[in-house]
Amino acid sequence: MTSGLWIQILVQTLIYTSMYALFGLGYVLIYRASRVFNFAIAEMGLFCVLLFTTCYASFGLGWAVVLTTAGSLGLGAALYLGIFSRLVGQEEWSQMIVSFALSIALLAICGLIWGTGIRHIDVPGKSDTLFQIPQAVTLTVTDVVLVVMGFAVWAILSWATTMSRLGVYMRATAENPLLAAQQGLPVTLIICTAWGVGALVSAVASISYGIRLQVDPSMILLGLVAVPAALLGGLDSVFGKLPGAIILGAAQATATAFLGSAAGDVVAFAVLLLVLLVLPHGLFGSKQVRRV
Amino acid sequence: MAQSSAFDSAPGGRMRPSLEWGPYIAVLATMAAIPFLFGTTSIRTFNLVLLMGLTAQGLNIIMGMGGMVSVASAALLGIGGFLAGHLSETMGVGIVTSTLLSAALGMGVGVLLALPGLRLKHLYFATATMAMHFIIVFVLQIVQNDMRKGSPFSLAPASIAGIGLDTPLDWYVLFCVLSAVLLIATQMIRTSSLGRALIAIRDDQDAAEIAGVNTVRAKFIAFTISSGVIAAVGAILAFYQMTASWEGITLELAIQFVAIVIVGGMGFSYGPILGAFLVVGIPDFIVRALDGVIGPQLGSQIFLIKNTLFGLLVIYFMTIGPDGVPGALRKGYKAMARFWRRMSASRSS
Repeated sequence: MTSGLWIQILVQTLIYTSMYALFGLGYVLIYRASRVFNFAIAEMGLFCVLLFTTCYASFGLGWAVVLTTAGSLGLGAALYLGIFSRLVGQEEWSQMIVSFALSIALLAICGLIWGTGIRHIDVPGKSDTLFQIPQAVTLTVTDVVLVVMGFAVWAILSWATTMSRLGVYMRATAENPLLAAQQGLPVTLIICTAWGVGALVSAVASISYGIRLQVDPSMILLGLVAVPAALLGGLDSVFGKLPGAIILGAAQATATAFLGSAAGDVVAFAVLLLVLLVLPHGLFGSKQVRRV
Repeated sequence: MAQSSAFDSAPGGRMRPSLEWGPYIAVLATMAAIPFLFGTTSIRTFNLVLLMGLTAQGLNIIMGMGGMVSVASAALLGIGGFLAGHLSETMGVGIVTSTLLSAALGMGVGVLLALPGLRLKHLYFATATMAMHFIIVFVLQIVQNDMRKGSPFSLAPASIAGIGLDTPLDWYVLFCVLSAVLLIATQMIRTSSLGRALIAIRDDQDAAEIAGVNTVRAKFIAFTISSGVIAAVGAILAFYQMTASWEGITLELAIQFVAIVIVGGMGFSYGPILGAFLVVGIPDFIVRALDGVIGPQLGSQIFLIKNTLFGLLVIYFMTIGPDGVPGALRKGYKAMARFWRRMSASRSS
């Protein structure tokens, strides 16, 4: 057991954690605003990262960031307005099934538009090494920037969606749309914002994954593994996403280091199964979650 | 003045057609007419529909009646298929024995599946079954690497009581018979004490417990039956395709079964077949038609087009109304029944 291996596990944990926290935030934002558990988050992220690669190739980095941000906000809002706003009042599991169907359709549509091949995003200075232990750990500047950015986005959005005025509006909308509307809140606009921001955070997570490794349809597994992160921390808890993501990231990084990457994903799910059997509402979820 | 009719007379003495059975008779008649209507070339599509429908019928026991959404069905299919593949390869065991043994194995796995089902509800349960899906697929992958060095199992051609199942039409007949048997069995479960207990659990678990329903027992039995049926279908599927591999067991497949049950109508016995036709059959037909028009350059896009159509159809059927397709069908059927009653009433007076 070398110390290099442990540092590698630590670094991997940080990288996984930042992405799971972001995806988990995407799930929670949409769930809190509209009571839809949106399994299509990962596919929305894939759509956005493919949009990013196209824009990056044609217009350069700056425009790509602007266009992808606008695109992901628009995608989220459009999906809510086009599909999920028609399902208001239906059982929550039936909305869940629609999001499953949406995920299959969106994945296939991405394949039809962009093909199913592997793409790489080459940002300048991608492989500048910051820190290296030979044969064990290589930490690039990109890694650090992306991880820090991931945590920063998570922190800002956690604040914005819980403490800020918008967060209070969102909570009011989720708890009782009718009363919120009677108070003069633009309910549809608020839910659309939540969907848009949910798509945006999944885009950030997907793009940072795409920059570090590669872009291909199999990356949606990342979003699925983030479901345990969302549930571990408790579905309606924004702050719970970070501890949930850390537990999952650590378990996955350790399993990947010792057993290989296929085992890593499975261990993540095994952890979820164990936690749910002991604590059915996750670590930080409120007990009054009704009819999830 | 009552005329003799094909329908039984009710105890009251008035002629009453048993409308309850109408939908089943209609579905079965359609199934029997299909080879004549569409010819044998598109039989493969219907075989696919019926196979998906059979699995969804198994899932319908816990999902439609018990209200528990499980995405572990694809993994259960895989377990049944692997057992059948292994038995066929090493000992040359036939389809009937394999199916029965797979059902027994599936029942065992069903007990494991029931454990989270006892404690978790709705989304949390669905996610727990998703976790089980990935764990089972991982185990199957290891098994396949160990036993077959990674290559898929290959199965011998199937035959039942000396009659070989060679053409798609042979399989179609088998699938129709199995569908009908399962349809009747589900209907019997539905009206049994188990079925009523499950429906009570779906509507309100706490109220069911207070009313004296043994929810733990009901859930265990339901999961065991459902998983046994799905694993048995897995064995049949493996013989039909003559191969079994972990690569075919995807979460998308599992989601398709859930969508089939929902689109066809939760808890309706005939729902799974209807749902399978609507969301799997229609895309398959469209893709075949496209293939005929555009030709082979479509290539790998076919799978993508099919999945797109599947997703969009499910979304469409879910948004057409509060009760979806079965709601619309039931409305039409009730109108028809009213019309029929009025007709027969005016005839007998």
